[in-house]
Amino acid sequence: MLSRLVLRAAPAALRNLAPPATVGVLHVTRPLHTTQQRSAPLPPLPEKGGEVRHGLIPEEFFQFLYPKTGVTGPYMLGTGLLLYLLSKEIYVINHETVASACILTVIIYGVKKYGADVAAFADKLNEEKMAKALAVKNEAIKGLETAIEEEKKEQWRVEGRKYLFDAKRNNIAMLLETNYRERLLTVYNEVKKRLDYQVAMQNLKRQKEQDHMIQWVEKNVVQSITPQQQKDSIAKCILDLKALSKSAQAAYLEKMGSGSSKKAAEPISTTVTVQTPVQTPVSTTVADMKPPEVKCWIDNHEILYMSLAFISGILSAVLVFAIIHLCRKKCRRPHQTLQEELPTQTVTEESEKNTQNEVTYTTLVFQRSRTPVAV
Amino acid sequence: MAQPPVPLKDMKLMDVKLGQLPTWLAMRDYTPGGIVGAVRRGYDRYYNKYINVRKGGLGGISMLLASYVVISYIWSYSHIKHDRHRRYH
Repeated sequence: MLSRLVLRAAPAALRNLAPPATVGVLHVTRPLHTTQQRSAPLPPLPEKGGEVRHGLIPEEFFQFLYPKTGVTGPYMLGTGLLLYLLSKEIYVINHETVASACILTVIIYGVKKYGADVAAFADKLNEEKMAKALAVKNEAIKGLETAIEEEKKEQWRVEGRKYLFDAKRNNIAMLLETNYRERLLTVYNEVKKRLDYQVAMQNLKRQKEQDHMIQWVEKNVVQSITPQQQKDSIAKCILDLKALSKSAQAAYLEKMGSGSSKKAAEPISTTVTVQTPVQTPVSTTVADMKPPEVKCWIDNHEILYMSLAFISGILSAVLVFAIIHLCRKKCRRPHQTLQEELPTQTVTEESEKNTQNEVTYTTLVFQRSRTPVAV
Repeated sequence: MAQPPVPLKDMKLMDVKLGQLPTWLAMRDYTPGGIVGAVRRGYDRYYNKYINVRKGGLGGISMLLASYVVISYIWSYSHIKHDRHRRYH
């Protein structure tokens, strides 16, 4: 209905008129807020306005007349009143009447036809307004509730600060411990380095002393070896070597000449015996060949006879040598005839040569063998 | 009507007996403030009854318009008098 449209415009217009006037009058003289504040919520808007019959006459009038005149009372009153006004021409029928009749017809027709739609539209607008206001209110409430929950959560979190501080304390203690251990390790390393240095120094000193002592001893020993001593030692070595060489030679001959005659063996043996002291690699090879030839050597009778002959030859040679030695010794003192000396001289020369060779050989061997002994 | 005895001047018009009407009228407050207050009261009553509702109907403003029409007719009656259907106005 139209009043609903007015509802949207009228409140703003009508309400704005009265309050400023009263407030303007009152704001100096009278104190405000004298009445007690009412905490009860405002009563809700009434759903429907006062009943109006035919859009003109309020229902209260009909109710006022009902006890006395019943239902038709007001209508009778209305009819009578209208007739009176018309008859007395208090209400004059003129052009305005026609105009108002037309206007009223149109208005009533419009209202009757579109009244409901307009009412629904106005109601929709109203609902939207209300819904917006409610939404705002609900949002505010929700926001405040979430704030309350957050606050409670924060309070709960505060209770946990004890654990937080414990964890922090643990961290710090661990850091301190680590630092302390690191420093301990550095101390240990430094001390170890110093001690190692001392140990190395002692070892070095001892080694130097040892080397020096060895060198000094060697030097003195070498100095102490007199030429006579050297000669005696050399002669002894020569004898030893001869014995060794003979035994080696026997084995070598057995191996080399398994089918040769005795004659060849004897001169060969004599020449070989003269030259064996010089031929050292031969003795070594003979020594190598000796072990595998042992079986064959024993089995063959021929070889056995040959070996016997060889040994006899060697013994004869030894006899010769001994005689020569004795002759040398004898010849030195009495100075006997040259005839005897000649063959012996040649032999002695040969022997001297051999001894010279033997000396050089033995010195070489001795020098070579000295170094491992000294160390 | 179980009400405590109310002084005459504060009684509502509908409760005033017909015999007390002149006295009641005389005792009303006719100062400018009183008149403005009365108008205000009347306006508030009408507004809250017919307009300030959820589903206001047509009667709310139509009554105002009708009353406006009637009052304007009354004020211009001296002019409308001349449209009466009689010989001598």
